[in-house]
Amino acid sequence: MSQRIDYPSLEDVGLVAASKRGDLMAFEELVARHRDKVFARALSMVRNPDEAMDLSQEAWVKAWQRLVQFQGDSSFLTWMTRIVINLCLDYLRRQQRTRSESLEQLEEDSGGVERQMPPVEARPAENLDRQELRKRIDVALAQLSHEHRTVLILHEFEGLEYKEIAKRMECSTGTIMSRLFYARRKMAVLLSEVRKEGYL
Amino acid sequence: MNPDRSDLKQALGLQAYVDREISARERCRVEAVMLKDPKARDLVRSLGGISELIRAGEPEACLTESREFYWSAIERQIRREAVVSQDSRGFAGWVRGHGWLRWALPALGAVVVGVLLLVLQPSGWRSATVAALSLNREVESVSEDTSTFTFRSVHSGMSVVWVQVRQDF
Repeated sequence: MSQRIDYPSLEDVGLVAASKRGDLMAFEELVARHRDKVFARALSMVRNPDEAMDLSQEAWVKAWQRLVQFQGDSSFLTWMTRIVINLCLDYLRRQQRTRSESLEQLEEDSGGVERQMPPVEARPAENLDRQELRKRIDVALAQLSHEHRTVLILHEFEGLEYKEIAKRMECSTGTIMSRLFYARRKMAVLLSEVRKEGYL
Repeated sequence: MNPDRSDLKQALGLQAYVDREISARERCRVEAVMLKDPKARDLVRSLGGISELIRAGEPEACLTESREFYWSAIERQIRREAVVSQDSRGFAGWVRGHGWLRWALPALGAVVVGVLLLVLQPSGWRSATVAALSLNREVESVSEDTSTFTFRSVHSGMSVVWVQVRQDF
């Protein structure tokens, strides 16, 4: 007699093991558990809810097909996030080709608008409601070029090293360092404007 | 700080210090620079501050679609791709099981194409084509609805065919 499995009570490791044996219901539990985070990462990169949903679903399909490659070196969510990031990078590359955004434009984004890096004191817990801070940072991120935003996301949120980001974005480490610097400088300007409004 | 090209290298070095992307030896060198240069200290403080602030405020997002709706699209795709891969694996496996088919299938395909070409050609056109292929000259086909001119050069190994719809009907 087969026993009913209580999927929600299982940890990710157990669900991954069951999924590797072909248990779709175990995989569905993993999807339900992490879908918001995977979607949020896609949305932060592509800035379009519909595209982000499609990309996140595509990432889950890929994850199912490559589950055997997941050896548990990192958490399942980290592994999943890497998959959706790669899909988003491919998507952004395709967009880039059709958008004809030039290097000159990128240079302008880098140095034209923000000339100073204002001092930023990070005491969000003391000065600002966390939800409000998230909203402000999201608005500021939306104003960056996708190259700057991607570098910032991969470094600050995903904790990737320069070399790893360069590999994923198919450019040199120097370019990544420079993009990260200008992205932070622009964020500092945008968030200092928020500070003037009394939020920081 | 407004780094010119010449200052950019130093700024990126300070950033690498903040991000712990440099060796212990390099860290000592940067710290020595910071002791002497207040602008470098300010930049390090600002870079660290903005980095900490961004990390503290990582945006969140929630899907508005229901669990069932979101999953149904994923499940459909998984099942569809499983069927496709099984089908292709099935045929490939069958061919692999019969090793002689690896060379027989392409050969069979070529024979079928050749026979079809010969059978489907009108007899007059066939003879003209054969003649054109064997001789280095231009021929006109006798097809009723089109005009066809074929030129073959054995020397250069080239055939040129003009096909034109007749205007007189």
